[in-house]
Amino acid sequence: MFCIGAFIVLVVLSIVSARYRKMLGKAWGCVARRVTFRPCDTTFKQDVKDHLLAPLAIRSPRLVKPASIALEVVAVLIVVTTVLSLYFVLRAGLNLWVYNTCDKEDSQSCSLGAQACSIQQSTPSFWESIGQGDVIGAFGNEFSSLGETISLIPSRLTTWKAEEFLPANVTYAKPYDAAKPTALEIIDPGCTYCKQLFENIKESGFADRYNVAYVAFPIPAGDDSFKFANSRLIVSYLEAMRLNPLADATVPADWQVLDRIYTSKNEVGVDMQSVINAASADTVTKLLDGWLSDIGYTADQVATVKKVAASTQVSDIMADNSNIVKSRINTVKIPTIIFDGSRHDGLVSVEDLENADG
Amino acid sequence: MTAADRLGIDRVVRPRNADGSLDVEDALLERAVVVVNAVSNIDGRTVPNLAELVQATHRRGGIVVVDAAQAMAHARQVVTDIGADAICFSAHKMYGASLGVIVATHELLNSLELAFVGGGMVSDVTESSFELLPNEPWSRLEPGLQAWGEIIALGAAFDWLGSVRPGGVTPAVHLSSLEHRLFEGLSDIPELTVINAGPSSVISVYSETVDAHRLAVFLSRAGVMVRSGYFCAHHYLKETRGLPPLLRFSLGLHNTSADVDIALTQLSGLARGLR
Repeated sequence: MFCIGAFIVLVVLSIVSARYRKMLGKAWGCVARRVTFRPCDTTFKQDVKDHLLAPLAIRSPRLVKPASIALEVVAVLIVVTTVLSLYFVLRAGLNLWVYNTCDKEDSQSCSLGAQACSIQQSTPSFWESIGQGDVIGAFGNEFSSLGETISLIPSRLTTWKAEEFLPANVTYAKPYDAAKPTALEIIDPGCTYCKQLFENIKESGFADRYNVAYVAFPIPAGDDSFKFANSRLIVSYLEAMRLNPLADATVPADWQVLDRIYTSKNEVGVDMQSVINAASADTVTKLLDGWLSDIGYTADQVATVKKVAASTQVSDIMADNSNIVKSRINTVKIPTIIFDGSRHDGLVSVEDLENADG
Repeated sequence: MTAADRLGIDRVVRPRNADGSLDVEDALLERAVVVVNAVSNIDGRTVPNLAELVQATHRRGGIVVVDAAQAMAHARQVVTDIGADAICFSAHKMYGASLGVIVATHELLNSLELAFVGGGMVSDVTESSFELLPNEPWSRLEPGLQAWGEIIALGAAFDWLGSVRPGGVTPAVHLSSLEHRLFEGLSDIPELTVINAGPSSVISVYSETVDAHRLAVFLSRAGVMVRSGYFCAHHYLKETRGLPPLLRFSLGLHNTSADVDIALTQLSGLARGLR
């Protein structure tokens, strides 16, 4: 282990100074023997240790033995941390390719991928498990997660078709045109990046060239709670509106509500999305009821939508949508949008939307 | 070894007696090439019966080649007038420059097969042959340009060794004083085993608990230069005597009693602290 640790240190030192390169060659010879299960060249190991310990030996020979043990421990730590670091770097690279985030458990924390809201994983991360003292669980979950990621590699090589993931009672931002390709976005009403994507789609004229549909997915945050407290309520209203559409509406009612959430402001100029995220469920319910009236629902229809939103029918639709997002599309980032044969995890810029083939 | 293997000649390794002498049966000396080191590079032992060995070998038609690498600087008398056929030594071990030296008899030189022919070796050259210099048999080992700088330095080293008076005394007296001081000091360190039976300019020790290579590195850090290992005597030390790598002190005319004291202080501290 010592010569492997020394090799790692010498690799770093050799990058900045040529004087260590000769010793690096010796260390490599030693490492090559170790990794092929042959005894290490003890001369090299002893040479390095003795040269490191010599100054101490002259002053305090009695400390040489504990210092020698400490060197071995440090070597083990260097090897372990290097192996772990390499593993995490490779895993992050794999995650970045498969999920467009280096941290699958908390995609929002990775600045390398596109901006997005994380879909928190139900299993604790490796370090969370270690922190809880569950070492076996930590490795079990880690390898399980890695296996899942590896199994999704083919999904990055496949051609994505939005039509295959459309939800029940799908609605489109603009009237459906069979001559246009379909784009499907996965959104959470409370996610600020979904708001930005919505604005980018508007600004780029993307919805004029694509039949834009959506799957509303309130990002879960543990047992029966959600990342944005009112998202589930809003999504249930959206699904209920899809089941009870406004007759003769040019823009579907659910899209009109989405438009108000993502683009309107309150009387003091605060984004409605921020207002909704900070408001109580009762306040949001009243707000939605008011918006429904504004866009043309009668009082009875509002009551019906309200009743359907709380029904098992909508719950079932939301469960189906959740299945589309988590099991079929397997994204960990919201928003995700599928168009032109590709899956784009996270926020897509106006420029990219403008450059879409259409 | 390689010559014996190549020519199919039997090779016999004989052990020395405790006093350094060699007992070799006459039958083994029949047309033998006897190679012996005049002073041990492990413990400085000489071969007290070296002259008798040379005579016995000559009686049986053999030759004797003496390795005098250790002897030339400190015990030149042990190879003087012994009648050996060849004496080999290294100039750098007697304060000269890097140069290999062979002192050989005319008879031996004239009997050598030529390995190389070069400038300064021939008196005449014909279309199909050549004639070697008739009265300069040493030239058979000196084809081409010689290392004149090193040869001149060797002469200067001989002159210096003949005139130097370290501390106002002869080299032999000076060295003898240091040898006794070092030998006694090393013998007084309980953690060490001294290989030598008595004082010598070369003294080897080992520790049962601390590796000699480690001690050498630590002593080097303290400014004390020593050798560690088996000194090319692996067969004798490792296989025959079963010893661990040794730590070897080599005293020279440049050393002082203060040097010896520093070495002893550092080594005793290390041996005690590292056990």
